[in-house]
Amino acid sequence: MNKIIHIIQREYLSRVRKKSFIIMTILGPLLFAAMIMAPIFISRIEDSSRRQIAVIDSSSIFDYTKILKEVVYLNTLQLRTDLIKINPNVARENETFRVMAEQLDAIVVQRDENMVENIKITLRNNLSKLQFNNRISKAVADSVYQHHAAYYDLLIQEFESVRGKIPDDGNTSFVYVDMSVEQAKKVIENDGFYAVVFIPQNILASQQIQILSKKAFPIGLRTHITASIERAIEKHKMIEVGISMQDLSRIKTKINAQTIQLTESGEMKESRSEIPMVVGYLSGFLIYFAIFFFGAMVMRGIIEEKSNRIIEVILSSVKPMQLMFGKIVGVGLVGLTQFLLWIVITVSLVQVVGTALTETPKIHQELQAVEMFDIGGMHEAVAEQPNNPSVLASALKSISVINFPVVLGLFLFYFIGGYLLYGAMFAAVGAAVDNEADTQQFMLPITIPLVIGLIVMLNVMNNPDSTIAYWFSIIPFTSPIVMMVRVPFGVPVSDVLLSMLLLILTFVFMAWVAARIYRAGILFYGSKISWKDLWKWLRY
Amino acid sequence: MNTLVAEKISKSFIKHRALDNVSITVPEGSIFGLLGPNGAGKTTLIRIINQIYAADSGQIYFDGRPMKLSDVEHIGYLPEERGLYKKMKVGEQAIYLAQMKGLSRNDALRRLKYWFEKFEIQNWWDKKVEELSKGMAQKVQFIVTVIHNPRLLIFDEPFSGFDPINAALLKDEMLELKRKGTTIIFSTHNMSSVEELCEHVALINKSKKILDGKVDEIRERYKANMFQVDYIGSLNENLFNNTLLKILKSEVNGKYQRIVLQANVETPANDILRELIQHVEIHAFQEVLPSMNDIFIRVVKEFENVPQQVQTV
Repeated sequence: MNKIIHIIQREYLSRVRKKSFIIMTILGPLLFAAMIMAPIFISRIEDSSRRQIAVIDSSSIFDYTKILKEVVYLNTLQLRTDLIKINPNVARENETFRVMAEQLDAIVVQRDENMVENIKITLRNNLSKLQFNNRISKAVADSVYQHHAAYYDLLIQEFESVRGKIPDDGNTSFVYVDMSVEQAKKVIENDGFYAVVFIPQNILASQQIQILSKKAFPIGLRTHITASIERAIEKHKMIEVGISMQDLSRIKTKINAQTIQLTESGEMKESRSEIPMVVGYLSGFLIYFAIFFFGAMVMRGIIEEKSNRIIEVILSSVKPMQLMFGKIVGVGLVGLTQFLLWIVITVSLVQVVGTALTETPKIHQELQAVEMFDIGGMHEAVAEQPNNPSVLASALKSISVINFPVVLGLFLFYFIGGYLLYGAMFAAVGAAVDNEADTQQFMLPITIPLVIGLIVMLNVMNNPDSTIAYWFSIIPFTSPIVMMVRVPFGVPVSDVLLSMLLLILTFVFMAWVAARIYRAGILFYGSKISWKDLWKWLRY
Repeated sequence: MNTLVAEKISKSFIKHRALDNVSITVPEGSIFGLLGPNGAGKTTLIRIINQIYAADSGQIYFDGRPMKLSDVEHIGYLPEERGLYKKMKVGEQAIYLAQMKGLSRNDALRRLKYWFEKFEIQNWWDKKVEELSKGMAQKVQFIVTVIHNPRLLIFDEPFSGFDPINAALLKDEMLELKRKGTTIIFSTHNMSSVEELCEHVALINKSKKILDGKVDEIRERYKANMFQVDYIGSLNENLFNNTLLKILKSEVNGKYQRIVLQANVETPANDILRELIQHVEIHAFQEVLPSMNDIFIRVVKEFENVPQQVQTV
């Protein structure tokens, strides 16, 4: 017993002290943290390069610039007619009205957020000019200005609500231009615009738009544009059938589902499936990864002892069994240590970097969104309403609904059980071959159940109570991975106990098999071993 | 008192029979040679003694009682396939291997200090094994074999792979350990080292023991009545034309003529000497015993012809 402790100690210390272990321990969390943080950094980098996209809307269904231009022009003519009625001398100011019409036209074409303001200023300036030339009185100018300003306010407000526009998307803004596609192409080539969105006249029938750009067009941006246009067209159609804007905003509904699960004892608890999914997915994947990584480490350790020819020296002091299990346990402890360090370092790293990045509230939202995304595809849920406290609160609440001590305890059990089961198989393979290149032929029975476990896990994540989930969480070769996906959703105790019992029994059996192969194979050098040889060793 | 007795050991593997009813007796404080061609079953017998394999039948006695599991701590074993953990530091590894033989850390340190000083290799302590030359690693390998002061030392082909300097060192250390009372078994097919070191031998061929006994008794038994004579003068060729004597070899050795004679089995040495004295001036007269190598080859060949016979002196 004393000797097995020495073996475990050596296996543990010799690995933990290795440079590669230390590097992995530091690099792992950096990698995890980078995965979590990268989207934030990328979005910040993109912020610095603003880009403009030109929109050519031939359909006018979306872009009201053309209509607005005409309305503004007609309105200017109307103003002239009205003023001539008050004072026929105004008719001599044709030049003023021409300039004014041009100025207004330019403002409308530009169509930026100051458009209404600029229209009013132009109006005011020109009225002042007429007043200065003694064509109209101050009272008339003021009254006309009041009337027209109010008109434009109302007009544009109406246009905005009916037509909408493609909203700016982070670092991308949209400009409505009145030029031909050919002209726009030239502008793109001169790097004037990042891209051109061309909406054809028959958009309602063809449901096609064109996006021209020099570089590959980002998918996110494309979705943003099509979604905006779809919304605009839907709105347009609804108004066509007689639904007013007020009705529309009343009709629009958003549902937040509160899912409540009845536990076996009949009490109700609130459940959100995203959080258990994240916890289950993470634990299942970690177990899969750990079995592969540390199982292979056991195998390499045994091959090393064989090829170093130290194995017989050791076997003159201890039984093969002691050496095999000492190695499996020692490497397992290395695995536990590595995981513990990873978790601790990752959490503190994310916290430190996170705090540094959350100085501005905008980034804070992004960070939250990205964090949630990273731990389970909750991007949409949170990102859509980042400021809605009830969503976050309910997410937090459902975290507290998961019985974490139980999940952690079962994670440890399945981690250890799964590792021991596969570790014994890896050990047998290591003992049967002379070098790592020969391991391939025996790896299949180890790899296949593990990969099946992973595939089933991904499959049952959305339906943890299905039959397939049940069976694969009972079968010992896949249960360490698949059961961990079910556990956070709540699993009948009988299922867990059955699965645990089978895992233990299978491990005992596999340890016996591995021990026999190990004992026979460990001192066997030379010719390549076949499956037939293994079978003979097993029965020998 | 016998340190180790193996009684009627048999062992089969899947494809072949490795040992067939082999018995050996190793007296305390002696050096015992386990001889035999490659693949004869020597290593299997040694692994059974080291409890790496279990015998199919037969019994091993250690110090006169059936061998226990814990007796491995009284055995030091240098296998033919030997090596060390390459990535581990020399000192750390030596302590580990000593602990595996049941030594406490402090005892291991104390004894390692003695051996490292003796071989003047103290400055290797913190080196990794992969940094050592092969000869250096062999010294370390020897130290970890003897570190726990075993009562029985087993060397499997110890001289294979050792350079001449380390082989000589190993030989000296073996003799010194024997002086201190350690019993040593070593397996080899290098016969010259057998004559030099061993008092007892057992010869195994094709899983069977075909010869065992004390080295001098075996050589005595297989002697062929050969004599080596150094003389001055000339011998009449006619002297050897009778059936009694035959010259096997004749050469000049300094100022003497040296011949090797093969005498008829019934002819006593005195008669030969008496005859020779009449013709030449005898400087030296000595019976030539067969080398272990000759006996080895002869016995193995005989055995292949008559496989069943076990010859014991």
